[in-house]
Amino acid sequence: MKNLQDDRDSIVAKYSQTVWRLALSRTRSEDAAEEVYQETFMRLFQKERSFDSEEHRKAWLIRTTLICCKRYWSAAFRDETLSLEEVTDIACYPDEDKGVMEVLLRLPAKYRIPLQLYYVEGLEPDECAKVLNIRPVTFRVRISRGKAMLKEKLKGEGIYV
Amino acid sequence: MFDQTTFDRNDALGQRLRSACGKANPPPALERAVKLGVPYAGKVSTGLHVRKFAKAVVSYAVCVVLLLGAVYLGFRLLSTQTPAATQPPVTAPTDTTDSIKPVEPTDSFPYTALPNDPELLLRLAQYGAPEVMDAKLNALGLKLSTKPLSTPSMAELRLILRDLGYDAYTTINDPLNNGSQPYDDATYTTVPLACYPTETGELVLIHSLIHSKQVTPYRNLLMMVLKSEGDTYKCIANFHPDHHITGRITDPNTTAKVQYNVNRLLNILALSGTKPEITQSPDEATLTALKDYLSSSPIIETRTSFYKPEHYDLYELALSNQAVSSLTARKYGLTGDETKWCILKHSDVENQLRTHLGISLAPKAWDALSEQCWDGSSDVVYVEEINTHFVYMEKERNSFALNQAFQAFETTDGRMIVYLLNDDHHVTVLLNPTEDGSYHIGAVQVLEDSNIPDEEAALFKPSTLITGTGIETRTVALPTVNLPTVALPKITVFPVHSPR
Repeated sequence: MKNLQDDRDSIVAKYSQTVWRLALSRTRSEDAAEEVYQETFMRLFQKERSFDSEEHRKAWLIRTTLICCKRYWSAAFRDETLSLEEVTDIACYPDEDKGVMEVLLRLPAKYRIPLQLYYVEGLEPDECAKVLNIRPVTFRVRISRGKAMLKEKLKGEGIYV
Repeated sequence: MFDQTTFDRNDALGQRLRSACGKANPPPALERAVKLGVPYAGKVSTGLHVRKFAKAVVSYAVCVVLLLGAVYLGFRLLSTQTPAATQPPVTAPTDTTDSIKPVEPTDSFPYTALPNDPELLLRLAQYGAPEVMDAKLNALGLKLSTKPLSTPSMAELRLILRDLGYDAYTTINDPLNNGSQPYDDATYTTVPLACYPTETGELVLIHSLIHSKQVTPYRNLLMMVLKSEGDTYKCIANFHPDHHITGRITDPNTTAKVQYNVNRLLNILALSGTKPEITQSPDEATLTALKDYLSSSPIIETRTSFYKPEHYDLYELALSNQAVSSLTARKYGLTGDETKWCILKHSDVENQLRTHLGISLAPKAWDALSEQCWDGSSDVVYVEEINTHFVYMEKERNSFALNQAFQAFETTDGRMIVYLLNDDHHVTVLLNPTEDGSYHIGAVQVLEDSNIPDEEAALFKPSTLITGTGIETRTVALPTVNLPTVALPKITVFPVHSPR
């Protein structure tokens, strides 16, 4: 029992940020992210799952997080068009990073999530494409366009990178 | 095609993104709750979308059923209008002495039809079992007829009940009790469900008592004996089989959780040769069919995952909450001899719940309880009675929202087992006594129900077993939680078994 608990603790500790960041970025709501975060880990622990490697586990978690986000928003009762003004969750970021996060969250999800997976979570392009269920070439196009859009928007906000 | 610099992770943009995103952390309490495998405050509804979808489907299905029902009734009305022209309609009698005729033996069958309600069918199968009815009727010197006799139609039975004053009455004006039990001012209505003749022409009527103030629909099945007196009937006995003959099969709250599969039940009844819409005097075949149904139903599968299968009789388990609680005890390694029902003061139960689980009972909980099983003259509640009735509780300061029901009992070795239920979880708490007379939590088991992803068939799934300090963060808000004071038998979470 203890080993099981230790195992669980270490897994959560290791992937907590990844799942949280992705959930927050995808849902743009801390409240929704909490639910997605919880559900993702509950899914992981409710069944005995075997993974070939840590990369496999990470990919599974990312994929499940994205699925949970999708299912969360697909509920008929939810409003997907959450305005940025409603997004109070950005307050959890330090001031100097708020601007970057705001601009990132303003990007369409199809560019936002690939950028995050590639730059923040450190997945390889092919892994990203697999997790997102898109072709590698599509992924590369999105990264390229997303990056250009992000730069442009950051510039518009007076943030130069 | 792509510029290599586009994919440089370490360019200024990448570093800026990592810097911004890297500082995002989940709330520590959420992380802790996930580690413990317990729901986070305000986020008890994992799989919310699944339930919402299910709710939408159910709502849609209900609408369709209602629509079809309305169409069907319309057709029935239209089709019955023609024969009605040739047959005198059943009308409300102005003079009871002329309106109701005693039953005359004929060769016609069957008995009065029953509604297609599986719970009622199950309960009625018990109440209507010959040995059950005989026991009560013998006391009156009556015996059920073994010959096929006609019984009044449902409409006629309603008229009989109305003439006797049972269509809508208060306990203070109870026609049978002559106002001897004015314990509440609610209005009761009796709805006939089934009728069996005796050898001497009396009618044994199984009816449902509808309580006007009951928030939760609670169908109290009763047995009434009507004796013919000239041209009318007189009620000579009124039994409450709910409590005094067989005990309850299930509570409405449980029914909502442990859904009987209506179609499955009806199919089985049909296979056994019993037409679901028409009941006969319940016989061995029917009871066997019911037993088979129960033993192969999802209820048993899921219960099997909770209790050791070798420790119970399937039929008893499904039919008796008492058995369920007894099995809860056995789950913790107690033998049958140790699970004799004890007597608890309700204040003790209340105190222990408040002290150890941070839960308060709603005042009406005990009112409801006392109405059913508290003798009113003392502070004593028989726990076996508690276990036949779920008691509502209100959420107070626990984050787990264990707000709906509980069963509690004390074992002869002094341990207390509390069984809690809400929309999402079944929780069993084992409290161990200490030398100073208080209790420590020995173990908590949380079962979650069908909101589990993957849409598997099982209604309940064992999810997490938490012991000792693991409880203190999220499961319940505990002021102090000590490690178990006794060595607990190993508690195993069993996989879901396939139907036997």
